[in-house]
Amino acid sequence: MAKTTVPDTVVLVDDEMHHLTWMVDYFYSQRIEVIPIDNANDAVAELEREVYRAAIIDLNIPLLPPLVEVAERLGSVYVRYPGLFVAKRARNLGYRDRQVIIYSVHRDADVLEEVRRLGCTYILKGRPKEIKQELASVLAFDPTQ
Amino acid sequence: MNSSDIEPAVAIPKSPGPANFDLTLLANFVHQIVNPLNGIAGTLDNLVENVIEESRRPQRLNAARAQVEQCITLLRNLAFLAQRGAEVKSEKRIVVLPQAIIESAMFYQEEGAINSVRIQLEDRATQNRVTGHPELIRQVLMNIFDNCIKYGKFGSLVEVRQWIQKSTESALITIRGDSKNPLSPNDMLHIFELGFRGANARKTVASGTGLGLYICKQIVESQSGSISVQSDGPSGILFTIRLPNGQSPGGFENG
Repeated sequence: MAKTTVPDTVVLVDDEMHHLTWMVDYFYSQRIEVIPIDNANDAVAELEREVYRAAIIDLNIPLLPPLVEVAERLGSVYVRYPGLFVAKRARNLGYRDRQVIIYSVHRDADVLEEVRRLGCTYILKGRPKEIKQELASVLAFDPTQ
Repeated sequence: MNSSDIEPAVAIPKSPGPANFDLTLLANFVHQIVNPLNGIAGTLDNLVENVIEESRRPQRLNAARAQVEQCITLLRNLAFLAQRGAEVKSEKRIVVLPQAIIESAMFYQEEGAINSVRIQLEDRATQNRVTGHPELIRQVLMNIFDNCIKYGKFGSLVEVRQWIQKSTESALITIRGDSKNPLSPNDMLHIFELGFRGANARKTVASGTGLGLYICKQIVESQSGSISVQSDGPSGILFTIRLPNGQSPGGFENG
């Protein structure tokens, strides 16, 4: 488990960010900065740079070469849902279990199986209260203590 | 909720059942509709909990209204598909082109601001008209604006022109945008096909229905018009809509 190096910032990965303005507002109200990213490649690069307070990741985001080949080697579910690939990379980089949140429209049995293996959180879009409660729990934990 | 709280996915029946294309369309449609609904619900929740500072509230409400409109547009596209264009049998009315264009563009202001893509109508003053179905014409314009904003290059302009061509008495509307990832010549041949999404679109936004431009073509042709697309410069894409029975305010060609 790696030390959180940037505790006042989260990474938000979604290719339709205008639908998540409300979440950005929520983070600002908690005095947390947000790094918005719209594709898997940039997300991996950003997560490799620092360990942020949390990474909230949409499953269905663009995945571009050269990472497509890497995802293919992990299995078809990682190609179908590139957000899962980002989540796995985050866990391997030392992000704690609850620091990695998959936030998606899709309810998929294959994803669920992988999420259990990775030990991260999986929340469906549609009821913002659910993710707000989870985010509040994550933010309540001080990673620098 | 943790992963253990998730219900297992329901297995999709292999046979008998809907065709794979129907299921893919449905899955994409659900994705496209849940995202804006989730955005609206999140904004309302923030307003109730006083998360948004007062000065930002009108902007956030406008954004939520645009998300509602996006859902309605998606549902109308699906309804048009389900009814196979039956709606076009309804009564025709006078449609003032600048008004229809401005009304259609206003719902993309918020999304456009985030992507730094702006829609601009060149001639707002000349009140050119066509006889047609206002809702359907707006649907066509909104579907094209949706594409131009969603896949547009950061900081680019979507230029809209409208005029009456005297020789054919047609109303012409052109919409020109610049794509973040340019459309390939081969993909351009298929752009109006049902369920088609270009490789450039998938590089920008992973999910989409491939319904919007197909519906545009169906609607325009149901009005005895035509729609075409062509490249315009390295990243430019130009849509041209031609509708019959155009009327200019002074009865002369203005384009």
